[in-house]
Amino acid sequence: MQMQDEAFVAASKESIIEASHVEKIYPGGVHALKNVSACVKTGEVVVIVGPSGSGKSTFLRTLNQLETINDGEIVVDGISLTTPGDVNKLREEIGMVFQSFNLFAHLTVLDNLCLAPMKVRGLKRKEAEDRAKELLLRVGLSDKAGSYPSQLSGGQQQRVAIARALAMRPKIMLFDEPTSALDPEMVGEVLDVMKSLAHHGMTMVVVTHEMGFAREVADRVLFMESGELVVEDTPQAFFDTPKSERLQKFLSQVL
Amino acid sequence: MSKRIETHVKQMERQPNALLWHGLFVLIVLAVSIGFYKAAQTIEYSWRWERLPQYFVYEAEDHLSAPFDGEIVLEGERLKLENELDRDQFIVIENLEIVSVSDGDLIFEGDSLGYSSQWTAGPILKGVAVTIELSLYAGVLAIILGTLAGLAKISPNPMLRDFATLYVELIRGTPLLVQIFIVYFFIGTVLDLDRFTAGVIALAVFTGAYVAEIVRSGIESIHKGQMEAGRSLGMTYGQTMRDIILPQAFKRVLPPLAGQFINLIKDSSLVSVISITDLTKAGREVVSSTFSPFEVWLSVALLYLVITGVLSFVVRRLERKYANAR
Repeated sequence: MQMQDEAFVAASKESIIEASHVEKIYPGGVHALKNVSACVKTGEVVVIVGPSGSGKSTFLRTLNQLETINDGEIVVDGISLTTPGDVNKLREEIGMVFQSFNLFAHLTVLDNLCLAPMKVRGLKRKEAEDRAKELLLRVGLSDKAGSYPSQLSGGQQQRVAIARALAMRPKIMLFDEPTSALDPEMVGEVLDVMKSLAHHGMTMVVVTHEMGFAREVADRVLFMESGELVVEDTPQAFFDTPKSERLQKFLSQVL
Repeated sequence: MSKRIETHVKQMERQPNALLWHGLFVLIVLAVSIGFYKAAQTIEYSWRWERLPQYFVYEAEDHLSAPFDGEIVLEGERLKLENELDRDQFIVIENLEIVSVSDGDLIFEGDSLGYSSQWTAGPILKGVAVTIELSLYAGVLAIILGTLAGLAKISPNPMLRDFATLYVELIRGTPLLVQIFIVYFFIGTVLDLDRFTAGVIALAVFTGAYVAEIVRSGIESIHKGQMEAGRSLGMTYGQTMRDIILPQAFKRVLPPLAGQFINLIKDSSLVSVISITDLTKAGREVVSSTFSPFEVWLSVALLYLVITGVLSFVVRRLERKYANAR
C-alpha cells in the first residue's frame, strides 16, 4: 500500500482520473470497494483484472457515477464527483461500453449513433449522420447502418456500442467486460477495435478477463480482489514477476 | 417452394383430430342455441324481430305545413298556395317527395301540403355513437393520465410516488359505479359539469389507474441497461425516458393496453345510471317501448361485440406493424 500511495502522488499531476480512498457499501451491506486509490493519465490504457465479485466493475462504474460512493473522492477531468454538479456534463466526456451491449433496440444502428450527439451535443441530423457513418467505417460496419440491433451478431453489436460511445467524442472510454457476453469467435473483432482505439491515443479503462489484451495493450494493469486494489504494475512485471501471492494464485487459475 | 410440406405433425404422441373436435364444438353450440330457443317457447315469448330495425334507422317525414289559409292553384307545371284574402301572398310547393294536395283544394293554416322523407339514426345507433364518443374521449384522457401516473410511480421523487400510489389504490379499491355517482353528484355539482363531461371524467380517471399500472410494469420490463446506456451518453433522465425507454415500453404494453380499452368500452355502459343515453340506456328505452327485451338486449350485446371486435382488430394490425419495424 505504501508504494502505491507514492506512485499515486507522483502521477497525480497529469492524471485525468484520480480516485482516492474510495469506499462503496451497497444498501444490502456488501462492502464492494475498500479504500481503493488509483489514477489514470491522459492517453493511458489501464486494465483492471480480478475474480468475479472483486469490485472491478463497481469501481469502473463509479468513474461515471453509474454507482455512487460512500467515502473517498473521485476527480475526473478536474471535476469532483462528490460535490454537487451536473453529472450529465461529465458523462458527455466519458464513453462507456457495457458487457450486454445495451444498444437501443427500437432504433437502427445509425440512429443508435446519432441520438445522443443530436440530443446532447445539439448536432444537426446531417452532421450526426456523417459522424456516425465515419465511425461505422472505422469499426467495419458501414453496411449495417440501417439494421436493427437484433439483426446483428454479438460482436457486431458490441462494435456498434463502441462506435455509439465514440460518437460523443469522449475524452475517456470505460469498458465493462466488453467481450464477456460474446461467443469465442467474436472476441477478436471487438478486441481489434479496442486495440486500434488504444493506438490512436484514447484514454481507456478496461475491465476484462482477456489477459492477452492486458499484456499486449495495457500501460498498467490493476488487480482487484474482494473490494481491494491489491496490485498495480506494468503488464510485464504484472504477468512475469507477480508481486503478491493472491495475484499469483489468480494468474495460475486464469492462465 | 418446390416441395410441398405436409401440414400435419409427425410425432410419437397422438394428435387430436382437429376436424372432429371442431365439428363437436359446432354441434354443442347449435344444441345450446336450440335449447335457448325452446326455453323461450316454453315461456311463450313471442319473438318480434321485425319491430327492431326502426330503432336503428327510420325514415323521418319532414312535413311542409301551410303558413296561412288559402287555395291551391295550378300555375303551369307548379302548384301554388294562394292566400284567399291577399292574392299577392303565395308560396310555391316544390322540393317535396310526396305532395298531398291538388288543384283547387282549400287549405287551412297548419295543414300538411306534403313531405320529404329522409333516413335518420334511431335511438340505438345514436346510443352506439354516444358510447364510441364517450370511450374515445375517456380513452385519450386515460392514456395521458395513466402515463403520467405510471411515470410518477417510478419517479425518484417520493412525493410523486406517493400521489401515484394514492391515486391507483383509491381508484382500484372502489367500484366504478360509486365513482360515477361521486363524480356526477358531488364533483359535478361543485364544478357545474354536464352529465357527459362527468361521465367522461369518471371513466378516464378509472381507466387511468389501470393504465398507470400497465405503463409502470411496461417501463420496468425494459432492461435497466437501456437507462444506463442513455445516461452514460450524457442524456438526462427525461430524455432517456422519452427517447429510449417509453418507445420500447409502448410496444410491449400494447396488448394489455388494448385489453384495458376493451374494458373501458364495456364499462362505459355504467354511465347510463347518470342518464347519459349511451347504447345501454338506449336499449332500456327501446325495451320499454317495444316490450321485446330479448331481441333488444341480444342486439345491444352484439353491437358491443362489434365495437370491441373492431378495436381488437385494429390493435392486432398495429402490433404487427410494430413487430415488423424491428
